[in-house]
Amino acid sequence: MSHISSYHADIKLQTALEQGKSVEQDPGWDILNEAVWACAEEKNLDVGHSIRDYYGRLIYCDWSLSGPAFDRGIGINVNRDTGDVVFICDSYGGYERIAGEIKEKVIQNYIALCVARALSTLNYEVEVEEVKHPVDGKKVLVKGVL
Amino acid sequence: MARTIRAEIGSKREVKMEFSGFPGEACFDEAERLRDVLRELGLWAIPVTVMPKTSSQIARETEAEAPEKKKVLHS
Repeated sequence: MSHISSYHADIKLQTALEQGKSVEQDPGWDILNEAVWACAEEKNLDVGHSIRDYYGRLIYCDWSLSGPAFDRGIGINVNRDTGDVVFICDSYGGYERIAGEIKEKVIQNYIALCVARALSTLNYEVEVEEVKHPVDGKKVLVKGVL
Repeated sequence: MARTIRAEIGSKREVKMEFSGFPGEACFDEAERLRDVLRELGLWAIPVTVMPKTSSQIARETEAEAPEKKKVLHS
């Protein structure tokens, strides 16, 4: 038999923490780094380690994404105790939409990279394709053949 | 028939996975293995729906994979 299933995805970097290692040693850390850089390339943003709030104050984070049209930036932090991934942004003043788009793109990239890597670990031959959907926006298709 | 997993990743954290070509209940075991590997990578895939394919869906897939029959001329 074969089946079709749907999932809701959540990111939590716990593998290294469960082994008594630091979260930076988690396999998900490198994937998150890759997902951030891929988003930066696609949306023409800069990757850094700080964002600014409405008052211009600097807030440090593990990764930040910012650009000319979004100089405040959005930050990504990984909780060192729980492995939870948190996006931070002072979106006051009309930055909600762009911050939301960047966040969802990073997460979509992360999911796609994870699925491709997991299928490869299970010895599947993997193909990745991006398709534009008129209603749902961009979708990433990952196909594994054994 | 090759075993195939197709994942469609949307922009709102939703993932649809289609398992094809698995005999018996093997697709459910494979889905479990995949979820375990994903979890190790930091991705928690929480199942929303699981729908076994209908016999007609499976038959269509098998037909699509089957090689075309050779035409033989009868004289």
